[in-house]
Amino acid sequence: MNRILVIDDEPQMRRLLRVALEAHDYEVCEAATGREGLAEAATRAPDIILLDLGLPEMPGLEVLRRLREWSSVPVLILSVQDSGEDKVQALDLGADDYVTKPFDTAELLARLRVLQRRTQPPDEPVFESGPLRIDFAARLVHVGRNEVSLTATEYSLLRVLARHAGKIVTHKQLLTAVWGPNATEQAQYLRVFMSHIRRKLTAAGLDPETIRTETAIGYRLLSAE
Amino acid sequence: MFCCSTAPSIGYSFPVSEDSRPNPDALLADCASASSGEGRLKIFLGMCPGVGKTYAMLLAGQSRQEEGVDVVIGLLETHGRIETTAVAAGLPRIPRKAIVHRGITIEEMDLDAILARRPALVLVDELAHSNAAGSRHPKRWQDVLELLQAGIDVYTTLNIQHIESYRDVVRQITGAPVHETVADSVLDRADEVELIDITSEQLRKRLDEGKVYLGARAATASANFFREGNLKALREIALRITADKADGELREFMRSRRILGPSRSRERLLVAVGSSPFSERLIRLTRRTAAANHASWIAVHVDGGVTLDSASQARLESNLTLARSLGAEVVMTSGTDVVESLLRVAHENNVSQIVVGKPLLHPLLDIFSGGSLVSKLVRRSGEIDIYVVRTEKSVAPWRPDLSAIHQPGLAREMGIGSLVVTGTTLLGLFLQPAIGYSAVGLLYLLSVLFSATVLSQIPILLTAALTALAWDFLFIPPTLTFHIHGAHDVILFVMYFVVAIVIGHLHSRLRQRERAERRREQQAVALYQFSTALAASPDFAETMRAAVERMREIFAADISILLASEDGQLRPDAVAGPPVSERELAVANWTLTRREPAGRFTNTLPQSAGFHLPLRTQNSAVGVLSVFVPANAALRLAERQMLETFATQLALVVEQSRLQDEAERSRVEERSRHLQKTLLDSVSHEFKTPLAIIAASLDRLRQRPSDPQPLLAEIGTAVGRLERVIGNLLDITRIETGAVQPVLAWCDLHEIVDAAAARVETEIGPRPLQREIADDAVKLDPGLLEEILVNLLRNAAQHSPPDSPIEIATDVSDRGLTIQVRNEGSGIDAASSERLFDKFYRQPGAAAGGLGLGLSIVKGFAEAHGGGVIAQNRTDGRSGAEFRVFLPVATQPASALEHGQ
Repeated sequence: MNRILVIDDEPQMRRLLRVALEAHDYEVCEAATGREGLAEAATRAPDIILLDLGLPEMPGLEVLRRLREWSSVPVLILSVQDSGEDKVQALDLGADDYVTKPFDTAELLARLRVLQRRTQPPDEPVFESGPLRIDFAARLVHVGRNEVSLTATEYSLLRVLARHAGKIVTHKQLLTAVWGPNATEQAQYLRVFMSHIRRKLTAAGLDPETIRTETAIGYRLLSAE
Repeated sequence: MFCCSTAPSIGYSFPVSEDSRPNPDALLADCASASSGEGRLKIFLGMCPGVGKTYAMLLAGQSRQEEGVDVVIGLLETHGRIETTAVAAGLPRIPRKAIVHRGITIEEMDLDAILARRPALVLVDELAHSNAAGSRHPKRWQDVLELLQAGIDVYTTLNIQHIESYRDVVRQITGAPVHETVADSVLDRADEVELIDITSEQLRKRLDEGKVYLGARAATASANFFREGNLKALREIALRITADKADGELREFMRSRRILGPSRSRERLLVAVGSSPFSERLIRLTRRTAAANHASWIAVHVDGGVTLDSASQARLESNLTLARSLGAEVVMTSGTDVVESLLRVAHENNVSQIVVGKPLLHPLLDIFSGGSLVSKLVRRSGEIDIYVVRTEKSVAPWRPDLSAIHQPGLAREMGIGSLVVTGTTLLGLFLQPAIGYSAVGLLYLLSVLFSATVLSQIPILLTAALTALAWDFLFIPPTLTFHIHGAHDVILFVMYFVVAIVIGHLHSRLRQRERAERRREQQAVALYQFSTALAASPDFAETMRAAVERMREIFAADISILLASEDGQLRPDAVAGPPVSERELAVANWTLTRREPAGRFTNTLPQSAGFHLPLRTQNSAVGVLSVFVPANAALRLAERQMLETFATQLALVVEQSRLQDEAERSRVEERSRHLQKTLLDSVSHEFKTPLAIIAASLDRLRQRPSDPQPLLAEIGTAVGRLERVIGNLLDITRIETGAVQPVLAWCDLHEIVDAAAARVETEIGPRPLQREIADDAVKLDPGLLEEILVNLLRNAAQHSPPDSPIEIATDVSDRGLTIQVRNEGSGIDAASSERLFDKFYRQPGAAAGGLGLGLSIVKGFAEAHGGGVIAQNRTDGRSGAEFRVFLPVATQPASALEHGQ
């Protein structure tokens, strides 16, 4: 479970990644172009793919699209843009997470670890991470010993985040999961709901950083490791 | 008085200076035509069909091809002659274009294919030919002119009977009508004219051998057209034409080489052009006379204010067009006295001879107009010769314009006239015992005067006659008969009759002139109003629309204005007026490139629905004015002139607007260049400094110092600084290029403030951050707001002592969101307050580092939301600065949200 394919056109970046990843016992394969990357993905069957969006010739989004036609291997996107449009697009096309260059290596590794874990089995009744505890069956949320009372919508949102703990959940994914694909009215208030959740959890004693806002992209529930 | 003239395009019309020095204008024109890149035209001229012109042309084409020239046949008529077909072999032929018109297919020369093929030389047979409707030009010689303009040489054939100015002469000789003609100007345009000359005996021999026509046709031809006498006369004319041309060429040659030869004749002819069919003949005759004397000539039309019916109007236009095409300078003038106007123009232009026709009307009728045109001219012409030409019997004799009688208003007017007469009669009968029958006559006279104010010409005359008869019948003894007994009564009656008729006639003429004056005044007023409208509005589009509206009112037609874009084509959307169909757009594009009017009422593409005028400036055309007159209406000459005037005005306005835009663009470019310079200076500093720190630290690290941590920290700081500078630059670029589009979402203010505070943690350092944040939800772009706060907080930290507090407060109302950030410190100095938000501005005395973009970014992002930012010194007693950002965004109190779930 530790073979990583790095697809990036910059040799320096590939070198850097190789050094960082191999230091953490990952086996690293490299590809410099999209075409090469697809070929390597097919032949070497990596466990995770690190894909740079800014590839020349075949853009990263195209590589992702083609990859997702026949493979569901976890993909982590590398991007330079702050705006987030490209990342949202990639996440909608099937990427699992992203880091923005210049990135913090620790963060990269953390996200890779999350991807390595298989997604939680859907009928796991309880979620626990640090002081946060969610009982899906009973629809109860606790921080440490304190019970947190959330409204129905707030609870649904938190549940989605918990299901994808550690991974980025896009606005679109949240909206679709909680309000369905054609939501408009309540969907405008997503951020407000999220900040209410955060406030209530923080008031109960949770570290506010647990729910991370990733501007223009979505939210991430950090799971304690 | 309106007066406009058009210069001829070609011909012997260059004014000759007083002395015999070569005229510099003429020389310049020569140079221009030589280097203009136009093709050379060679005409193979013959006296009649069958002399071998086509054959000679093909032979010439063959020999040019052997020299290596790219020769093609554009159009060839062999008439079934074997020799001709044979000599055409080997020359590539451009296939004819099939034109379908009303279900009939006609094949014409494919002009576009030849233009696309771009040969060096094209052979075009039979220059005198009318193209089928639907072709670009009505005449083949116009097609040839276009080929020449494109730089392609042309050989062509022509019979002398087809030359415009010789048309009458040849017809007189042969008796056969001539249907096709070519303007003399084309002959003048020819660089070479080769006469294919054979004697009449040789020609008749060829005819007998069947080399000209075959079979029965040959026999008929032999008997009629190809009679001995005919052929000899035609040959003489052909030779004379060629001799004249050679003579002309010799003169041109001598003149251009400054060889002084016999001085040019300083004759100048003038011919008056009207709407009668006789004008046509006069024009052609004047042309021949002028050519023979190497003189220039002017064709003058005097607009006397009389409105012409459409048939006369059309004849007048075709006469003027004929004169123009024959090389005359056409002068249009107006005036009530025709003779006076003609003489005025004659004197202004140094005319030496005026050509007129012999008077047609019976001399007695001339009394009404004060003598015939001819005699008046003769009397007042002074030193100008008058050349009187006989009329031709076959010209239709002038008939009085009886069409007026069929006008519908006539009956009504006669009714009014009869009413007046009846009324006066009754009055007369009533008053007769008191005043006597003679005075009744005066009463009738009064009534004629009265009715002259309301009736037009013919009803007046009839009414006048009616009153005379009524007076005679009812009042002059013996009453109730038409006899008149007394001699003095006879005289009275006759005098009355004459006076009544003259009064009526004069009065109606007076009214006509009044009407003409009024029309002219209206035109002047319309032009004035148009100019005012153009100058009134600074908004270009508004001006164009106003112009179109005005013109629509004046001409009762749909008007559209099309402008050219940079690539030289018209933009398909009209800048004012209704949209123009694709077909018309194509015609308009043609107008634009040629800078000549096209469409209806012109010689080019006359079947188009619209009349297109180019908006011309000095060197080019900036657009096209398209006029769509209703299908059954026509454009009068006066209206056309007005349109041309308007077009000139419009062109000026368009040009002006364009120049203004260019000036603005250069100003913007100048500003941006300045900005770029400042940017480069600042940026290179801001980049180089942290990079230098990083390089130096790495250097030191390579030497493996005992404690690398401080150095690593330095590198970390420097990287952070670089990230910040790049981020700012990107932000300001987005703002400058208008790429900032806020993506609005309902947000919680606490979250954003927290995020911003976290980002500037390092810069704020130990300073306490005091917050007063509202709980309401606001609808804005969270990313942009975060940037605004980050920059404000950073700015506050930079300008305040290290442990002073920074306050941030938000206030939410239904008008929007206000954010206030305050810091302690020295505050804003007076000099900086205006330029605080300028790019790259940094307050003097500020800490080193930074591009000075932060506040500009705040302003830019605030404005992207439709809001703004102000800066001032604190008003609460403490020293320091205060920044307030207002964003007019939707807000909702926090409580409202709790329910919506």
